[in-house]
Amino acid sequence: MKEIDRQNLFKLFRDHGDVLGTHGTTQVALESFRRSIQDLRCSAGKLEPLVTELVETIKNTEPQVTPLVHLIEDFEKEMTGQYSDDCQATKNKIVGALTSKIDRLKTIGEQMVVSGLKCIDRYDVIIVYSTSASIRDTLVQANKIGKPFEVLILKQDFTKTRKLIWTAHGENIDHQVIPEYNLSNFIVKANKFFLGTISITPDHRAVCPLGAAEVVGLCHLNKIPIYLFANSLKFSHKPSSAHRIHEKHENRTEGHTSYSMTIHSHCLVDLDHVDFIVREDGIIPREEFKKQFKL
Amino acid sequence: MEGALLPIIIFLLVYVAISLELVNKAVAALFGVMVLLILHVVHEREAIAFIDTETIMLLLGMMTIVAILRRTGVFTMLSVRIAELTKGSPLKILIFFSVVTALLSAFLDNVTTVLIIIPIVIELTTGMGLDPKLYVISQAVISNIGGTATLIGDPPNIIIGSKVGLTFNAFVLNLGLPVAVCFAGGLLYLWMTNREKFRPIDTNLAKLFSVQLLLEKIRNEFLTTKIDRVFLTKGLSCLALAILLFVTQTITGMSPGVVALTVAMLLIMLTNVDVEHLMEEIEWTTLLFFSGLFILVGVLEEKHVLEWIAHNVFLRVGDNPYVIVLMVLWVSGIVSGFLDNIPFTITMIPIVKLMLESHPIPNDILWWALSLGACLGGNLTMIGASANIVSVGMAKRHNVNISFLEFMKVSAVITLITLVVASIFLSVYLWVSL
Repeated sequence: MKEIDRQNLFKLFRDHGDVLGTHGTTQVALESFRRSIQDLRCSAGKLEPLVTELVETIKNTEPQVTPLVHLIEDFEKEMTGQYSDDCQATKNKIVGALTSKIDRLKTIGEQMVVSGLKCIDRYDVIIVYSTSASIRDTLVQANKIGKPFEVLILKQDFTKTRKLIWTAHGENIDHQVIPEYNLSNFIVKANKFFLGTISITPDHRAVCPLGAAEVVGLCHLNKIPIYLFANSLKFSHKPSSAHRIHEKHENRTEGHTSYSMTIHSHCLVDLDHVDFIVREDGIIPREEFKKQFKL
Repeated sequence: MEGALLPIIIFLLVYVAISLELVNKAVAALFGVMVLLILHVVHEREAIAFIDTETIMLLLGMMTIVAILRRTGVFTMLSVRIAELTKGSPLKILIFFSVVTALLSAFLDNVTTVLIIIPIVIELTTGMGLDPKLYVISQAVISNIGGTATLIGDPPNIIIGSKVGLTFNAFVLNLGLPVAVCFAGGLLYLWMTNREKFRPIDTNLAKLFSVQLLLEKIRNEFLTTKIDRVFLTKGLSCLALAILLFVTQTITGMSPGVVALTVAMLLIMLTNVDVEHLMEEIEWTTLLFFSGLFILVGVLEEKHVLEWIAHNVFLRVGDNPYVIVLMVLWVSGIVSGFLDNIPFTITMIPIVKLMLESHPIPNDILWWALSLGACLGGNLTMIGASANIVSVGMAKRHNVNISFLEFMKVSAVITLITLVVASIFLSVYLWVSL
């Protein structure tokens, strides 16, 4: 695969992450993999190298999409020794393996909503920052079962917040959209902060959407409980430095001034500031998750 | 030609101002009219009488219908579905989008068509690592070709149809075939000269995967509004009604202008749209530009200037009908490539009428020559048609810079091909008719 094509692909992953969140991106990637296998025309001998090349690319995106990496590693194990001379039969096996990963992901997503619902109490005012599918689905479900609560949507780049605003609007969830830099004026009103993540690393960090670390800092200082939505697939065995957070340098000109600006795709949140981790198997407070996950 | 000098000078100054984009073209045309009124070259009542209300009604009606239809999101949805159908095949992207562009521009104005199509084409091709320039240029060129096929597809046709009284069916029946051949010829040329770029990708798993991710991104990005099915049904029903009434014009006796404006008003009432907001989407400057030009050309006609041009320029070539037809086609084609084809068409209509008085040519062939020349000639350069300028502008906003020469390198050859096709078609048609 050419470097330019790899970079294009990585950008697509980031774009999806901005709009759909990690869970959504993982699902889209697996479904895309499945469809592209169905559309592929090649001989049986070429299938394995092509799949291996794609798998390696998917495992090394910038940043790494940890749930996807885990599922793809499972897929690799499942496919070991399964490639045969019958191309169509192998393709069917690949499709079957990918389908089982998609189903697993869906099940985890449903379980996350069950856990998430336990985090919402009546008359909560919840700050929401990222576009996490688990958080979105939880809010929708809580609203459907009639829990009264309000959401403060921190507006960042519109692409990243758009889906959250649509959901809140479309589902008639009581909400207020505020600029992320204006949170300090609303901090007294809020009593919870829900945050999504792309991965949790052994060095006690969470790879989160850009800007989340600042919001976490403000909430932590104001003693607002921080709930980090991270299902089991998001726990990584690699340190945060190995998560390939994308860095780009942009030359900009504004008001007759030219400058170069460095932008990262994600930021790192210290888990010491997180109060609860919401997983598919329940809500785990800080003291416990430190011991339980050996972070 | 007594008293003709002043209107000629004013007309030429307006033409220069429009061509060099010194001022807004509507302002240029209306300022020219005001000078004529102040100098008593023409009186207000006469000036108003020169405005072809049929053309204005048709334009206003179609602009209103398109503005409402655009709100349904149906065209964007259609483009996304087409993107999905291509499955990332470069050749399919070219062919499928070209077919949609040609069909849409036959019934919508070309600028609206490229505004819908180009962003998705750029997103798709850049996301796949393809060079989007060829695709952008091809869609602009195809929109001009597609628009040539119908009465409502391109402003020159609207003007010719309204001023001469040619029906919607007459346009489709007479221009449908040559336009289809021009379309196929243009695509064939693009494929033959860029075969390497159109290689299939279905043997490359990573590319197929990228395309699937990209299509999902396009769905998320472009399908941002939920389709209101009731609104959509009303919109499409009214468009179908308008086309039906255009087609049955000879039976109903309703002119295209009356049809378009009636259906537009019906659609406003049915959809209950905010009229104030809707009016902001109507291109009033275009309507004012048309009105001003009609008056300027009307004055020249009244002063016998156009009669003089017809006799001393166009009829100098002799009385061979083949030469007359081909001259109108090629002169229209070349001039439209460099100048706005709207004022050119408005100027040419009285000249063609005079030519027909001296040398009757059957089956309206001279009008088809003018239509084909003015519409297809717009492809000659980047500034030849509004759709070209808008397409290049949109590409630039996506960091795809297309130079004048890059555009012309592709478009000029296609213009040549299409004008040759049109020449053959018109010659055969004339041979059969004589």
